[in-house]
Amino acid sequence: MCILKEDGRLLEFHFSDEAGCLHTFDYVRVRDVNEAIALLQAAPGEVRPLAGGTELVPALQTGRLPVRCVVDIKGIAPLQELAYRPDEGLYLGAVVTFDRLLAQPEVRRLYPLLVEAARQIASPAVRNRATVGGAVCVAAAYSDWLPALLCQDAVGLVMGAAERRIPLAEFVCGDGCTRLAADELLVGLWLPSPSGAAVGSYQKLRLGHGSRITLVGAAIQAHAHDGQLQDWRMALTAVGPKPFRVSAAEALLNQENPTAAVIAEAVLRAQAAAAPTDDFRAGADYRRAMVGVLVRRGIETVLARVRGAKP
Amino acid sequence: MRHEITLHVNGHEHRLQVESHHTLLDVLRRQLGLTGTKHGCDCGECGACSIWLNDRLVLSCLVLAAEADGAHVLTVEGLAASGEFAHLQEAFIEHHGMQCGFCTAGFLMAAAALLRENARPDAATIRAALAGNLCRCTGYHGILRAVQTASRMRR
Amino acid sequence: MNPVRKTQWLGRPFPRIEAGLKVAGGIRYLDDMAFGPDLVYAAIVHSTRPHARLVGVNTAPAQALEGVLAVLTGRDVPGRLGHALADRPILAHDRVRYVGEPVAVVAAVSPELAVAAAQRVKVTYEDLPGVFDSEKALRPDAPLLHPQVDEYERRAFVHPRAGTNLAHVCRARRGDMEAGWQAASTVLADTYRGAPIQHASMEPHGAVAQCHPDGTITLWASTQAPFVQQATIAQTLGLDPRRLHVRAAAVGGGFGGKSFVSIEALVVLLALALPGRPVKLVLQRAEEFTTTFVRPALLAHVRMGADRHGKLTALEAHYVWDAGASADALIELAWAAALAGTGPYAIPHVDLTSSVVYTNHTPAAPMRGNGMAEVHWAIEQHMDRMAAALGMDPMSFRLRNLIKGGDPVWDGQVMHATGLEQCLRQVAQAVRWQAAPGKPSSAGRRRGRGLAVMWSPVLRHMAISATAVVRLESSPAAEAIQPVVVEVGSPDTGQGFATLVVQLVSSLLGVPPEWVQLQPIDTARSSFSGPGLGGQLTWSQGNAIVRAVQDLRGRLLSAVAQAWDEPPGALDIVEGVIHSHASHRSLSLRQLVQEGVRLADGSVLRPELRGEGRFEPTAPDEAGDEQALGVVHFSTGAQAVEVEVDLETGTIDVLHIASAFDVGHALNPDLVVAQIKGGAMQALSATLFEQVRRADGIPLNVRLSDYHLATILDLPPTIEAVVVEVPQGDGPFGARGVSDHAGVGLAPAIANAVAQATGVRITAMPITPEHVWRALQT
Ligand SMILES: Cc1cc2nc3c(=O)[nH]c(=O)nc-3n(C[C@H](O)[C@H](O)[C@H](O)COP(=O)(O)OP(=O)(O)OC[C@H]3O[C@@H](n4cnc5c(N)ncnc54)[C@H](O)[C@@H]3O)c2cc1C
Ligand code: FES
Ligand code: FES
Repeated sequence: MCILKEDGRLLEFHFSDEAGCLHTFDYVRVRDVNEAIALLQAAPGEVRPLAGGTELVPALQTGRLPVRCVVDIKGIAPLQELAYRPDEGLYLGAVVTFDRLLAQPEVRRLYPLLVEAARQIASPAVRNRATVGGAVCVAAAYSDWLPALLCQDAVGLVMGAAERRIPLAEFVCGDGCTRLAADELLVGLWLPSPSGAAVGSYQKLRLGHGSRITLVGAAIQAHAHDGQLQDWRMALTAVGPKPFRVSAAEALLNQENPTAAVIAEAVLRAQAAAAPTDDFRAGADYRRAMVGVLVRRGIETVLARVRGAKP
Repeated sequence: MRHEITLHVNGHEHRLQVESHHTLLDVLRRQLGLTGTKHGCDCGECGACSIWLNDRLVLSCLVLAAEADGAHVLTVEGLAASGEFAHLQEAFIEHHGMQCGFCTAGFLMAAAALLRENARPDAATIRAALAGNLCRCTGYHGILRAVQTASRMRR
Repeated sequence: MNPVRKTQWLGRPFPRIEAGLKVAGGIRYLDDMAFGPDLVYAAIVHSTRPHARLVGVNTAPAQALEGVLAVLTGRDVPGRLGHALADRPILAHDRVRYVGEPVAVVAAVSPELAVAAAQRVKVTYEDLPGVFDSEKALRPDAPLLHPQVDEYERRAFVHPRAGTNLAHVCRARRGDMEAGWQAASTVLADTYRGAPIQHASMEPHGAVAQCHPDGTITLWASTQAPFVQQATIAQTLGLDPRRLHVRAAAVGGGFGGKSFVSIEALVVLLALALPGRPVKLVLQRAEEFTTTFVRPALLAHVRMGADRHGKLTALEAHYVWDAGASADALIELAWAAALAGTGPYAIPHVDLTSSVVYTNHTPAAPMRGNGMAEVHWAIEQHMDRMAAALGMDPMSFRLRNLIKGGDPVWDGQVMHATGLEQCLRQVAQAVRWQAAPGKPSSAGRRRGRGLAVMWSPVLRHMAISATAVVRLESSPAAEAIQPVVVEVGSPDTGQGFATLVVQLVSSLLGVPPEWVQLQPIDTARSSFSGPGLGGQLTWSQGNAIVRAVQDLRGRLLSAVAQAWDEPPGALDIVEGVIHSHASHRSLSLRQLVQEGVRLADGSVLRPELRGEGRFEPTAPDEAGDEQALGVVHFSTGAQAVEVEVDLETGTIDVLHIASAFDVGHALNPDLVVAQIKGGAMQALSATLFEQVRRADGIPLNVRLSDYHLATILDLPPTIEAVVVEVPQGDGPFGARGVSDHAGVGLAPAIANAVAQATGVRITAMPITPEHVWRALQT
């Protein structure tokens, strides 16, 4: 059984799809990218890549997805790669799990924001399966993972009829919507080396401590050069159809010293950029106000961390 | 569609015919009769179906049986039979880490996975490790104390 | 015989009897039971409309699928379900009244096929205007859900109003309201709202039924009330109840959600249509929210007066319960709210009304506390506000007004001895009530403490009699134990009732606990018992067991006394052996069972090896004065918390919970403590997070990700339970139940603490961060 609904824009309650298809899909495991793409091309839209399955497997149970075949891509070697090269940056294969990501020494050392966000995603059992690429393809409007990636200027590496490199900000085009064609595969994410020693903070607001749904999230990252903070990055989640960077606030922080007044102005810019809607999880005005609180706390946390305090 | 798979469950090898849409949870419960692993929500939100797959804690409702071909699976029945976590089971009894018991297998598998990696976890680490498992009866206090006690008992 | 003569296994820790099986995955809940290759799977076709005329239900596309064995609709099933008020069709007849209502049910050879077939059933609706708010439902122009409610079958204490959505109204009064208001120097009125929440037991509802060649039907169910199911389903389907055997599987939590018939009648219907084949239905999580039960939303209008000295003079309250489309399960709750709607206070002038109102929502049923959590949410917040208005400390104000043993309750009834005040003092001390508030962990956060007292009635209305049987069974000679078989009618749903039964029987009879074997419940063989609501289980079933053991013991001892020619008083049973203080002779029970006892003349006497106990409280005079007869006794307690509130986000961290309950006599202190802590956390979850959200009758959050339940991360750093014991005269060994109401005071305690911390008061549950933030903006 499934529930067709878009957050806050619900027309009618459905227990299940009208058509109610039977479970007739096939399962194929592949070892090679081209093999996977050939399968996707054979029946675009009806063949689905399967990564960690944390979203796809329950969806398949409903019998609602018009799927004829799922292609298990976890066994494709290049998609499993997790490598850091100082000159190039971090390559995250699409099927790297959050658990593996969190165990990687370079990631822990150089990408503190990624780590802080990933730690707050789901629970150990889910992080053992859920993949960094799957979370990008799911493209949830309240994702905790996308804002952290956006702050790294991550680029999606896509293969299909041709190879494409799509900046993450373009890759995701709305809640649950990506620029990936039905016969394309996200093979990995490329994250340029940080422009200095990255300091980050992910501020997440939810109903209860263990709640899966983020009501508002703010990712902040800056880069330290000789004790000076430069190259501020800021991304918000759950306050618009997709997570996004707040360039107006970043520009301000890059120009001026982050005094209380400057932070206050950055907060205003973040709030102006937010486009929250009312839904049953939270009201738009609350979300907008919380953008202010979380952004300010995120900036203050980054500043405090750079000073060596660890709030 | 049908697949023939091999599963090593609790140390026993099984050759099984499964359908593409069957989850590992379906197969454990329906085909192998291993009903200790519970079905509480079917979408990863309750933790009652927690098992170990190739020595990693996973939610068996989120894994297709076909994906697990060739894998090693440990369920609560296997955990109990091995005796390796008897001290954890005893601590659950002593501290009333269960009432109705429906969530218990999931908590045991998650707690055992934690203790295997970290013999002396602090309270915050225990909480984080068990955050994906819901219990409607105990209020978690007995569960927390049980895991703390077990970590002290472990040699 | 004095029942309190032997308490060997009582009043001290005793491990849960089934715990070993539970930690090995060995307990079989309904969905774990094997039913063989003939098993058939059912799936429900649900209403997708909150209120509509059923124009057509086309089952042909479902029936066309190979492997589909039966499709039933409301046309196949006349009659309505209900144990107090028969107001719920098993399958919708001519109209649907809520989203999720079963419109048809399908049986097929696999669960996947059943779901697919259900999806193919085409239902045509003609929408009707709906009512989604209990107050609007009472307006004269409101659309009616049950235009013929007054014609439905019902018990005498149910009072529907024809031509309205009022399914039941009851009232409890004492004193003279005019005098009460006159005596008051301060009068305060306000409205409080309790949210609809879901019981959300971790095990979903499930049932299997099979019709046997001899015409009998077995229903296996995850149920708290097998006998209620038997009676209600048989009556609705026009079956001889003796044809329907209900067998209770191990229950993975119920909390009231499994105390009535929900989906069980559907599988019985399919079993009748498919003789010989077992038919199984296990609900998906989303169906739990839409198609079983929810705790009712409450609207509480409270007006309270107190004099200059802080003595309460008058209380007028109207509790309006949102029953959803069926009120049957709320009748007793409404009575409880009327009869205990003052909270545990001595108030001379009282006028309480409790109304149960139909709306186009999922039917409501009590959840843990039988309405008391909702009532105290209102009363105990109002008490804090009265205290503030009077310039008094909330604790002192409560102490001045707490009900005490001997205070009048309803006409002719006085309050029994209670440890209420001790409970309040204990929890206040635990959170250091008198001390200044603790320092918050950072700027922008504030701490506050709050407390609440509570009481909860056991009602005669609900106390359908309980019976128990205890027998000695012969066993193979090789076995060392002498089985003592116990039959009761109420299943253990996790609270530890089975363990308590073993403790009671072994202590009273004088046998080792390992000898005691609790029979699985089967209405064909077991002893009758009521639904076990409102903490009634320990009391009624416990008393029945005490009597059954006394009966058996009396038979055994008098036979042996006769044989030995000694007074029965000289004999005792210790560790399964009958001893005589007088002659120092002894005889093991095992020997008695196998060989009988030899009389002086050499003949053998074989006593009856079976004892039976009935506990039947005086029946309410249904025509007479209902309120005077209503309450058997009250359980009391208090809860206190300390919270820290983030003033910017509204987020609340509960730092400390202290709960104290007067349990009469803690027969198993560890189980009592476990119940108290578990109940507190369940209440914390309801207070801070839970609400079934709907838009014009359409459920919005039917997944656990959107219906957040407290996790271990929400567990406060300190959670304590204090056990107070003021014996209950009519309880087994003086015990009262506690599991049902262990969370009742928590929600108002948290609300009071939040008010102390922030200065704002949240009168509508749940106290979400957004709620707090909004209140702080104004
Ligand atoms: C219980 C639970 C809790 C969660 N909590 C959080 C949380 O707190 N915060 C948060 O941000 N998220 C949370 N999530 C979401 C989680 O991060 C995603 O479900 C997960 O990362 C998806 O990855 P996957 O590998 O499991 O994807 P899958 O389920 O395998 O796939 C998801 C979708 O993406 C497609 N896909 C996957 N990989 C590729 C690829 N390489 N190329 C093309 N298409 C692809 C699939 O076809 C499918 O449509 C939670 C999920 C669960 C189940
Ligand atoms: S059944 Fe797998 S998490 Fe609930
Ligand atoms: S013991 Fe019942 S859900 Fe945990």
